[in-house]
Amino acid sequence: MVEIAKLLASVTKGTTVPSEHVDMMWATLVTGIVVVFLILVLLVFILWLLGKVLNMNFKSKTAAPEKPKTAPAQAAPVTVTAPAEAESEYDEDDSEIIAVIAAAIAAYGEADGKQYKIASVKRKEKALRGNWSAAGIHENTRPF
Amino acid sequence: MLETFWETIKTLAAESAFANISWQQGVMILLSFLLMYLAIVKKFEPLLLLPIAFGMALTNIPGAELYHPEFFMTGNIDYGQVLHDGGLLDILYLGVKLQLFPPLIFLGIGTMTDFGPLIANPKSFLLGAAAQAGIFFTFIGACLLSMTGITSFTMEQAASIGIIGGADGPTAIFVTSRLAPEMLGSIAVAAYSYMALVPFIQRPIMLALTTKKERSIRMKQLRTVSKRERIIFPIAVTLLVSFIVPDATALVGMLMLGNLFRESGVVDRLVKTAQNELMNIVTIMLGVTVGATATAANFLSIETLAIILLGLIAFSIGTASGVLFAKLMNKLSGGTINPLIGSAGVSAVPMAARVSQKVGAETDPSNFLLMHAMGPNVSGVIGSAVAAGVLLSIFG
Repeated sequence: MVEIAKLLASVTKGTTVPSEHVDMMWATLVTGIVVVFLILVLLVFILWLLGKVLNMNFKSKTAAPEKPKTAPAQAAPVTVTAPAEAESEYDEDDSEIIAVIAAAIAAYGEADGKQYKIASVKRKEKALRGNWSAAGIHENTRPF
Repeated sequence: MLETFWETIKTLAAESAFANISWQQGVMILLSFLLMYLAIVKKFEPLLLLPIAFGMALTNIPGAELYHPEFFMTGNIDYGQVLHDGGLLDILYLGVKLQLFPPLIFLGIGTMTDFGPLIANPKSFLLGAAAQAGIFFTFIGACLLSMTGITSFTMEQAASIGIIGGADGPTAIFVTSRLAPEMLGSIAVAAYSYMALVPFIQRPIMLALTTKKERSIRMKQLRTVSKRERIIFPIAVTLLVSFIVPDATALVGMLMLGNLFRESGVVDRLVKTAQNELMNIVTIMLGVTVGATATAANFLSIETLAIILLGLIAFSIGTASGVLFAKLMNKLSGGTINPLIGSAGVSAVPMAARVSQKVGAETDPSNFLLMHAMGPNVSGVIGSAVAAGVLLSIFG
């Protein structure tokens, strides 16, 4: 398609007047959008493939920007108590994260024979963004 | 002796700019003051707009002979003449004419860009593609405008006007210097002014095209991207894009080279230079010479007004098509994509991503869209370079 458009353009290079080449005008629109989309779709596919191939052993353990503090204590096996603060809109996300962190700490502690129990979950009073998030934003919004 | 003295004074007076300035040049110099005001006081993309403004002032001083548009407007440029008779800005302009400066700026941009969010969520690429529709629809708009007879753009000029919609300065300069060099000044001024106005142009369109519910969609956390992926990405993109659209190789190749420098981690000094010294040097020379092309004859015409209007249309269509496509993707993915990140598909990094973040935060202050919007934002850079390659291969 690009070849056809190119051929048309080579006939009158440099001073192609739209009124005389209406066909080429629409051809350019269609070609342009189609080619750009095609290439980027191909890139999507290749990247997805790349991701799959390179990360076959990858376990996704994600952590959210806001982390509530947990207070570990000795004795009984791990139980998760519902977060004390109910006004936070992160409630649902929080339980999962708390479970993950607790499990990680528990697994870590297993080696020493310790067992952890969550006594309470308190939100640490902070600015909306944690330090890492703030640094990330700063890095990515640097003007150039 | 007194006679000689007076003769000399008279000659000096006759050669001075005061005697030779035309009203058009006066207007251009006043216009350059406005641009300087916008750059310095209003902080409109000052890194480029300030040198452009000053270049515009310099070139419209009669008798200074810093820039000769007639050297460059012929089909076959006589480089010997340029080197022999050229002024300061003629020589520096060679960097633009020979398509040297924009790719070098892209090299610098590549070293500063983090493609992580894009690699983590490759679907963002599609949003970068969708937003480039603004380029091609504006091209049609410019052609149609010429067909009505108000302006008389050739298709090459229409393509150059269209590329403003890519919201990418170096890309616009790259395309225009090849397809329509006589319009370089107007197009560059329009492109950089609109890039500074991105927050004001995009916000109403984003609000108009999305519902409150859509705006408050929380997106899934992005996965971490391994170093291997980050290194393979630039290489793969370069090869794929340049094999399909060879005319885009200069821009995309340099962008990816810069990124490879950054991600490899082994050429830190090159990265530092490319990000700082190289970028700054090229920016200065590019800015001043692009401004210099805005001579009174080139700039003060109905064409320039049309370019300014069409540039606005280009940005708007790009934003709208990005948002609309994001809405489509949202529907198809079952509500996991916040349409606000679609507008970040225009290539104005990181401004457009910031705008997505801000508009999202208006609806839900704890919605952290920035990283998700960076994906489409940087893919827009690639998308606009590909679009430029397509236009150059058709009309170049």
